[in-house]
Amino acid sequence: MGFSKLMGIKNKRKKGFTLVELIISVGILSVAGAFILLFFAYSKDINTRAYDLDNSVYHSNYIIELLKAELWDEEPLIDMRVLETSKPPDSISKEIRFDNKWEYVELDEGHDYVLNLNLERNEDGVNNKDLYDVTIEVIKTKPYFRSLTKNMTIYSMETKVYISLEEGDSYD
Amino acid sequence: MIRLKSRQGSTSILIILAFLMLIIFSVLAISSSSADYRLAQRNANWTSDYYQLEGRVSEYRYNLDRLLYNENVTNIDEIADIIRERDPEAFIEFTIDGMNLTRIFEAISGKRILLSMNLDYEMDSFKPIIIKEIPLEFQYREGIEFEDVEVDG
Repeated sequence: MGFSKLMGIKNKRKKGFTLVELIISVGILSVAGAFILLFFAYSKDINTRAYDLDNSVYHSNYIIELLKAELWDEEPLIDMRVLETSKPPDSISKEIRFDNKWEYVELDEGHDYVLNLNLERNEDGVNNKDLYDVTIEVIKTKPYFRSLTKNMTIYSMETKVYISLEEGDSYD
Repeated sequence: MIRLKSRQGSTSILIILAFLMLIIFSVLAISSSSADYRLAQRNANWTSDYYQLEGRVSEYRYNLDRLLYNENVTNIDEIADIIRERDPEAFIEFTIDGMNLTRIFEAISGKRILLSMNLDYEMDSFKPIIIKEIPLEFQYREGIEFEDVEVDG
Protein backbone atom coordinates (compact mmCIF):
# COMPACT_ATOMS: atom_id res chain seq x y z
CA MET A 1 0.00 0.00 0.00
CA GLY A 2 1.40 3.30 -1.04
CA PHE A 3 1.86 6.32 1.14
CA SER A 4 -0.66 8.46 -0.67
CA LYS A 5 -3.27 5.73 -0.58
CA LEU A 6 -2.61 5.31 3.09
CA MET A 7 -3.15 9.01 3.67
CA GLY A 8 -6.27 9.05 1.53
CA ILE A 9 -4.76 11.30 -1.11
CA LYS A 10 -5.82 10.60 -4.66
CA ASN A 11 -2.82 10.65 -6.92
CA LYS A 12 -4.14 11.74 -10.23
CA ARG A 13 -1.40 11.31 -12.83
CA LYS A 14 -1.78 14.13 -15.31
CA LYS A 15 -0.47 13.70 -18.80
CA GLY A 16 1.56 16.74 -19.85
CA PHE A 17 4.98 18.38 -19.94
CA THR A 18 7.13 19.47 -17.08
CA LEU A 19 8.48 23.01 -16.89
CA VAL A 20 11.96 21.85 -17.86
CA GLU A 21 10.63 20.08 -20.94
CA LEU A 22 8.73 23.19 -21.95
CA ILE A 23 11.73 25.45 -21.46
CA ILE A 24 13.93 23.14 -23.52
CA SER A 25 11.40 22.83 -26.35
CA VAL A 26 10.76 26.59 -26.47
CA GLY A 27 14.53 27.16 -26.48
CA ILE A 28 15.07 24.77 -29.37
CA LEU A 29 12.19 26.30 -31.31
CA SER A 30 13.44 29.85 -30.76
CA VAL A 31 17.01 28.98 -31.84
CA ALA A 32 15.67 27.27 -34.97
CA GLY A 33 13.34 30.22 -35.61
CA ALA A 34 16.20 32.70 -35.23
CA PHE A 35 18.26 30.76 -37.79
CA ILE A 36 15.39 30.78 -40.24
CA LEU A 37 14.85 34.51 -39.74
CA LEU A 38 18.55 35.03 -40.36
CA PHE A 39 18.16 33.21 -43.68
CA PHE A 40 15.39 35.64 -44.67
CA ALA A 41 17.49 38.60 -43.56
CA TYR A 42 20.42 37.36 -45.66
CA SER A 43 18.13 36.94 -48.61
CA LYS A 44 16.89 40.52 -48.24
CA ASP A 45 20.47 41.76 -47.97
CA ILE A 46 21.53 39.98 -51.17
CA ASN A 47 18.43 41.35 -52.90
CA THR A 48 19.32 44.88 -51.79
CA ARG A 49 22.86 44.45 -53.11
CA ALA A 50 21.55 43.22 -56.47
CA TYR A 51 19.09 46.13 -56.65
CA ASP A 52 21.85 48.63 -55.80
CA LEU A 53 24.23 47.17 -58.37
CA ASP A 54 21.54 47.29 -61.07
CA ASN A 55 20.74 50.91 -60.25
CA SER A 56 24.42 51.88 -60.13
CA VAL A 57 24.96 50.40 -63.59
CA TYR A 58 21.81 52.07 -64.91
CA HIS A 59 22.76 55.55 -63.62
CA SER A 60 26.39 55.20 -64.76
CA ASN A 61 25.23 54.23 -68.27
CA TYR A 62 22.76 57.10 -68.32
CA ILE A 63 25.43 59.64 -67.39
CA ILE A 64 27.93 58.33 -69.97
CA GLU A 65 25.29 58.39 -72.70
CA LEU A 66 24.36 61.97 -71.73
CA LEU A 67 28.03 62.94 -71.87
CA LYS A 68 28.45 61.34 -75.29
CA ALA A 69 25.33 63.09 -76.59
CA GLU A 70 26.49 66.35 -74.93
CA LEU A 71 23.11 66.87 -73.30
CA TRP A 72 24.16 69.36 -70.66
CA ASP A 73 20.62 70.42 -69.73
CA GLU A 74 19.66 67.04 -68.30
CA GLU A 75 19.53 66.81 -64.53
CA PRO A 76 22.76 65.11 -63.49
CA LEU A 77 24.88 67.14 -65.90
CA ILE A 78 23.46 70.60 -65.21
CA ASP A 79 26.27 73.01 -64.29
CA MET A 80 28.92 70.79 -65.86
CA ARG A 81 29.08 72.72 -69.10
CA VAL A 82 31.94 75.13 -69.09
CA LEU A 83 30.57 78.22 -70.77
CA GLU A 84 32.62 80.92 -69.11
CA THR A 85 36.09 79.63 -69.78
CA SER A 86 37.81 80.10 -73.09
CA LYS A 87 39.56 76.76 -72.65
CA PRO A 88 38.01 73.73 -70.92
CA PRO A 89 39.60 72.80 -67.60
CA ASP A 90 41.91 69.80 -67.31
CA SER A 91 39.76 68.12 -64.71
CA ILE A 92 36.09 68.29 -63.78
CA SER A 93 34.47 66.40 -60.91
CA LYS A 94 30.88 66.13 -59.82
CA GLU A 95 29.19 64.41 -56.95
CA ILE A 96 25.68 63.19 -57.73
CA ARG A 97 23.63 62.10 -54.73
CA PHE A 98 20.69 59.71 -54.47
CA ASP A 99 18.26 58.81 -51.70
CA ASN A 100 17.35 55.25 -50.73
CA LYS A 101 14.95 55.01 -53.69
CA TRP A 102 17.63 56.12 -56.13
CA GLU A 103 16.06 59.54 -56.75
CA TYR A 104 18.32 62.55 -57.21
CA VAL A 105 18.70 64.71 -54.11
CA GLU A 106 20.33 68.06 -53.49
CA LEU A 107 23.77 68.23 -51.91
CA ASP A 108 22.46 69.45 -48.55
CA GLU A 109 19.77 66.73 -48.28
CA GLY A 110 20.17 63.32 -46.71
CA HIS A 111 21.45 60.69 -49.08
CA ASP A 112 22.26 56.99 -49.21
CA TYR A 113 24.26 56.73 -52.43
CA VAL A 114 26.87 58.95 -54.05
CA LEU A 115 28.00 58.79 -57.66
CA ASN A 116 31.39 60.39 -58.19
CA LEU A 117 31.93 61.49 -61.75
CA ASN A 118 35.40 62.58 -62.78
CA LEU A 119 36.56 63.83 -66.17
CA GLU A 120 40.26 64.26 -66.92
CA ARG A 121 41.31 65.92 -70.14
CA ASN A 122 43.85 63.79 -71.99
CA GLU A 123 45.71 66.06 -74.34
CA ASP A 124 45.01 69.10 -76.45
CA GLY A 125 41.86 68.72 -78.40
CA VAL A 126 41.17 68.84 -82.07
CA ASN A 127 38.34 70.59 -83.86
CA ASN A 128 36.79 71.98 -80.65
CA LYS A 129 36.69 68.49 -79.16
CA ASP A 130 38.69 66.84 -76.42
CA LEU A 131 39.36 63.31 -75.29
CA TYR A 132 38.40 62.84 -71.65
CA ASP A 133 39.12 59.97 -69.30
CA VAL A 134 35.84 59.33 -67.49
CA THR A 135 35.80 57.62 -64.13
CA ILE A 136 32.58 56.75 -62.34
CA GLU A 137 32.39 55.35 -58.84
CA VAL A 138 29.15 54.59 -57.00
CA ILE A 139 29.35 54.49 -53.21
CA LYS A 140 26.84 53.42 -50.57
CA THR A 141 27.23 55.64 -47.57
CA LYS A 142 25.44 53.39 -45.08
CA PRO A 143 26.63 49.84 -44.32
CA TYR A 144 24.81 46.75 -45.51
CA PHE A 145 23.32 44.14 -43.17
CA ARG A 146 26.02 42.43 -41.04
CA SER A 147 28.67 44.68 -42.57
CA LEU A 148 30.52 47.42 -40.74
CA THR A 149 32.00 49.00 -43.88
CA LYS A 150 30.68 52.46 -44.52
CA ASN A 151 31.16 54.17 -47.88
CA MET A 152 31.46 50.89 -49.72
CA THR A 153 32.06 51.04 -53.47
CA ILE A 154 29.21 49.28 -55.26
CA TYR A 155 30.35 49.80 -58.83
CA SER A 156 33.09 51.57 -60.72
CA MET A 157 33.86 51.96 -64.39
CA GLU A 158 36.29 53.75 -66.67
CA THR A 159 35.93 54.88 -70.24
CA LYS A 160 36.93 57.64 -72.61
CA VAL A 161 34.70 60.11 -74.36
CA TYR A 162 35.54 62.34 -77.27
CA ILE A 163 33.34 65.36 -76.68
CA SER A 164 33.19 69.11 -76.57
CA LEU A 165 32.66 70.76 -73.20
CA GLU A 166 32.67 74.18 -74.67
CA GLU A 167 29.99 76.07 -76.53
CA GLY A 168 30.80 78.33 -79.41
CA ASP A 169 33.99 78.85 -81.36
CA SER A 170 37.05 76.72 -81.12
CA TYR A 171 39.83 77.66 -78.77
CA ASP A 172 43.57 77.88 -79.34
CA MET B 1 -8.24 1.34 -43.35
CA ILE B 2 -6.19 3.40 -40.92
CA ARG B 3 -7.83 4.23 -37.67
CA LEU B 4 -6.43 7.12 -35.72
CA LYS B 5 -6.79 5.93 -32.19
CA SER B 6 -5.03 8.83 -30.57
CA ARG B 7 -4.58 12.51 -31.35
CA GLN B 8 -1.42 12.80 -29.32
CA GLY B 9 1.55 14.24 -31.27
CA SER B 10 -0.47 16.21 -33.81
CA THR B 11 0.89 19.50 -32.40
CA SER B 12 4.46 18.30 -32.84
CA ILE B 13 3.72 17.30 -36.41
CA LEU B 14 2.19 20.70 -37.08
CA ILE B 15 5.20 22.52 -35.65
CA ILE B 16 7.64 20.34 -37.58
CA LEU B 17 5.68 20.98 -40.80
CA ALA B 18 5.59 24.72 -40.14
CA PHE B 19 9.34 24.78 -39.58
CA LEU B 20 9.97 22.69 -42.65
CA MET B 21 7.91 25.14 -44.70
CA LEU B 22 9.85 28.09 -43.27
CA ILE B 23 13.18 26.40 -44.02
CA ILE B 24 12.12 25.59 -47.59
CA PHE B 25 10.90 29.15 -48.24
CA SER B 26 14.01 30.72 -46.73
CA VAL B 27 16.30 28.54 -48.87
CA LEU B 28 14.22 29.43 -51.93
CA ALA B 29 14.42 33.13 -51.07
CA ILE B 30 18.21 32.95 -50.68
CA SER B 31 18.72 31.03 -53.92
CA SER B 32 16.46 33.44 -55.80
CA SER B 33 18.22 36.55 -54.51
CA SER B 34 21.65 34.99 -55.15
CA ALA B 35 20.62 34.35 -58.75
CA ASP B 36 19.47 37.98 -59.00
CA TYR B 37 22.80 39.17 -57.67
CA ARG B 38 24.77 36.99 -60.07
CA LEU B 39 22.73 38.35 -62.96
CA ALA B 40 23.34 41.93 -61.77
CA GLN B 41 27.08 41.24 -61.56
CA ARG B 42 27.10 39.77 -65.05
CA ASN B 43 25.31 42.85 -66.35
CA ALA B 44 27.76 45.12 -64.52
CA ASN B 45 30.78 43.28 -65.99
CA TRP B 46 29.24 43.34 -69.45
CA THR B 47 28.65 47.11 -69.19
CA SER B 48 32.17 47.79 -67.91
CA ASP B 49 33.67 45.79 -70.77
CA TYR B 50 31.47 47.53 -73.32
CA TYR B 51 32.36 51.04 -72.17
CA GLN B 52 36.04 50.15 -71.94
CA LEU B 53 35.88 49.14 -75.62
CA GLU B 54 33.94 52.27 -76.47
CA GLY B 55 36.68 54.25 -74.73
CA ARG B 56 39.20 52.65 -77.08
CA VAL B 57 36.99 53.60 -80.03
CA SER B 58 36.87 57.22 -78.81
CA GLU B 59 40.64 57.30 -78.44
CA TYR B 60 41.05 55.88 -81.94
CA ARG B 61 38.76 58.54 -83.39
CA TYR B 62 40.65 61.23 -81.51
CA ASN B 63 43.99 59.95 -82.84
CA LEU B 64 42.65 59.92 -86.41
CA ASP B 65 41.40 63.49 -86.06
CA ARG B 66 44.79 64.54 -84.73
CA LEU B 67 46.41 62.81 -87.67
CA LEU B 68 44.30 64.87 -90.06
CA TYR B 69 45.26 68.11 -88.34
CA ASN B 70 48.89 67.52 -87.55
CA GLU B 71 50.21 65.70 -90.60
CA ASN B 72 50.76 67.68 -93.73
CA VAL B 73 48.70 65.58 -96.05
CA THR B 74 47.15 66.87 -99.20
CA ASN B 75 45.13 63.96 -100.51
CA ILE B 76 43.13 61.01 -99.21
CA ASP B 77 45.61 58.39 -100.51
CA GLU B 78 48.37 59.74 -98.29
CA ILE B 79 46.14 59.48 -95.24
CA ALA B 80 45.23 55.92 -96.16
CA ASP B 81 48.91 55.02 -96.47
CA ILE B 82 49.73 56.57 -93.09
CA ILE B 83 46.83 54.72 -91.40
CA ARG B 84 47.81 51.41 -93.02
CA GLU B 85 51.36 51.88 -91.82
CA ARG B 86 50.41 52.80 -88.25
CA ASP B 87 47.48 50.44 -87.80
CA PRO B 88 47.68 47.28 -89.91
CA GLU B 89 44.37 46.03 -88.46
CA ALA B 90 42.41 48.86 -90.05
CA PHE B 91 40.54 47.92 -93.22
CA ILE B 92 40.39 50.73 -95.75
CA GLU B 93 38.37 50.89 -98.93
CA PHE B 94 37.79 53.76 -101.30
CA THR B 95 34.30 54.77 -102.38
CA ILE B 96 32.75 57.51 -104.47
CA ASP B 97 32.30 59.62 -101.32
CA GLY B 98 35.85 59.20 -100.16
CA MET B 99 37.32 56.59 -97.88
CA ASN B 100 35.73 54.05 -95.56
CA LEU B 101 37.70 52.78 -92.57
CA THR B 102 36.60 49.70 -90.66
CA ARG B 103 38.25 48.48 -87.50
CA ILE B 104 37.33 45.82 -84.94
CA PHE B 105 38.28 46.29 -81.29
CA GLU B 106 38.44 43.30 -78.99
CA ALA B 107 38.46 43.16 -75.19
CA ILE B 108 40.15 40.47 -73.06
CA SER B 109 36.74 38.98 -72.32
CA GLY B 110 36.18 38.35 -76.04
CA LYS B 111 33.68 41.16 -76.52
CA ARG B 112 34.12 42.93 -79.87
CA ILE B 113 33.06 46.30 -81.24
CA LEU B 114 32.93 47.22 -84.89
CA LEU B 115 33.78 50.79 -85.89
CA SER B 116 33.15 52.05 -89.37
CA MET B 117 33.95 55.62 -90.42
CA ASN B 118 33.92 57.73 -93.53
CA LEU B 119 36.31 60.46 -94.64
CA ASP B 120 35.18 62.58 -97.56
CA TYR B 121 37.44 64.35 -100.04
CA GLU B 122 37.30 67.63 -98.09
CA MET B 123 39.11 65.76 -95.31
CA ASP B 124 37.53 67.67 -92.39
CA SER B 125 37.09 64.79 -90.02
CA PHE B 126 36.24 61.11 -89.85
CA LYS B 127 32.49 60.67 -89.49
CA PRO B 128 31.36 57.51 -87.72
CA ILE B 129 28.87 55.39 -89.66
CA ILE B 130 28.62 52.35 -87.42
CA ILE B 131 29.69 51.73 -83.83
CA LYS B 132 28.17 48.46 -82.69
CA GLU B 133 28.90 45.37 -80.71
CA ILE B 134 29.46 42.14 -82.60
CA PRO B 135 27.36 39.49 -80.84
CA LEU B 136 29.22 36.45 -79.51
CA GLU B 137 27.09 34.20 -81.71
CA PHE B 138 29.00 35.46 -84.72
CA GLN B 139 32.38 34.52 -83.33
CA TYR B 140 33.22 31.08 -84.59
CA ARG B 141 35.65 29.61 -82.13
CA GLU B 142 36.29 26.45 -84.09
CA GLY B 143 36.55 26.27 -87.82
CA ILE B 144 34.85 23.53 -89.80
CA GLU B 145 37.33 20.98 -91.09
CA PHE B 146 36.16 19.80 -94.48
CA GLU B 147 38.41 16.77 -94.35
CA ASP B 148 36.09 15.20 -91.81
CA VAL B 149 33.06 15.47 -94.03
CA GLU B 150 32.39 12.27 -95.86
CA VAL B 151 30.68 12.47 -99.20
CA ASP B 152 28.96 9.43 -100.55
CA GLY B 153 29.98 8.82 -104.11
